[in-house]
Amino acid sequence: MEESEIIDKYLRGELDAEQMESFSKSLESDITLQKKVSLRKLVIAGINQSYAEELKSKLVDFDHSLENKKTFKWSWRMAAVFAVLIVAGAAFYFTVQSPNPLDFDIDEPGLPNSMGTDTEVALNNAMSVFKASDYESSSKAFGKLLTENPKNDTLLYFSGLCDFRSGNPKLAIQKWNQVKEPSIYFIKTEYRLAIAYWSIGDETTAVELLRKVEKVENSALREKSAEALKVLD
Amino acid sequence: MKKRSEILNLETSAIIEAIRAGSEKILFQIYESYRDEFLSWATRYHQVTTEEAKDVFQEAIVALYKNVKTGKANTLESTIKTYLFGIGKNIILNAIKRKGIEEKAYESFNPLHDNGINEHYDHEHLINLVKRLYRAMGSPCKDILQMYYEKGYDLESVASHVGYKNANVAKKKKYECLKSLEDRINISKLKNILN
Repeated sequence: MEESEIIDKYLRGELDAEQMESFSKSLESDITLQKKVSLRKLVIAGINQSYAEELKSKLVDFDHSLENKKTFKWSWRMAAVFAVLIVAGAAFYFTVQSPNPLDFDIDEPGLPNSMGTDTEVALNNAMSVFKASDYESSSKAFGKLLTENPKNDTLLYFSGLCDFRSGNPKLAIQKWNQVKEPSIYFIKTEYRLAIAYWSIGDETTAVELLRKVEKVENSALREKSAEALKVLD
Repeated sequence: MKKRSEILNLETSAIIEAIRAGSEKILFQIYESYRDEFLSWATRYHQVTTEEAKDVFQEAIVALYKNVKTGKANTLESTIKTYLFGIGKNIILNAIKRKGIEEKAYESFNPLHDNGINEHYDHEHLINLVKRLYRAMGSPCKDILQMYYEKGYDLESVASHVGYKNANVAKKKKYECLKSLEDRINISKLKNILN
């Protein structure tokens, strides 16, 4: 075995007992060998330190790559958030911009209170609740009166209106369809029916009804119907 | 790269074994797994900046590597995480202590007293010389010496990594590379003495 190889094996602890004893003895007395071993130790220490520094430098680079990855992930998150905001904004814009049938609901002042029979008192009470915009309660009150007078056009009209305004357009349609000519509520009811059909997505029926109302002479609802038709067309 | 949970599933002994076998990958996995936790911990409890904490954690990983290679961390009683945090804490405390000592030393500096500084300086100087010459070697000498002396590969493994026919070829090449490096060191040392 060459001397250089023996030095390596000595430093790596790979010599057997006999070789170790022999080498240790030589090392004690041979100054040149001592210098060679010292030099080899120095070389190994230099390589070790060089690698430690290289490893540190690689960790610094690795840390940068982790930071970049996080930034990249963050950018993606931001992009996703922006995309959601844009979609939500667009949805909001179109919801706001798109015509809403409820925008065409017309004002209804209700009937003035009148003194009289128990039925009239009950009607007054229902009308008062209606005027207070409590449509759910007034719907119940009108509904109760309607069971006693199922064909009464006033009750059908107001009861339907309460249903419509409390979010039950189908129930309103059911009642309003029973309001026939020559009821004073007929035109108003036809117009309201159109809006109710529109609100449930039946635009064809809504357009038909609105065209009818649009043609009624001297009706305050002609202009309103035309506006609604413009939107629906 | 393995996820943190996968690293946590590994036995400490398996991690140590992988480091000893020269796996750099496992060191990066450990780094990624505990980095954020260490940074939070160090900045919160030891009043260091995030940049300082990063530097400390990188030093801790290097220390873990060195300790495994030198057999100081062969049988860890704690987990890798506890060990790393412990090293990190020591690095921070030593840095604080050193800063205090350096400030005191600066105040009471006496250029007439050597206190073995020159000897230490000489050794550091020699190590730096070896590093410089070794780094300048280039491939394949640098790789062969690193595999043999740093990673602890045997000559057969070196041959297979470099693509040599057998261990004897690697042995011959390693000898040539080493001789070249040692000759350069001796020449440089001689130059320094003459200068």
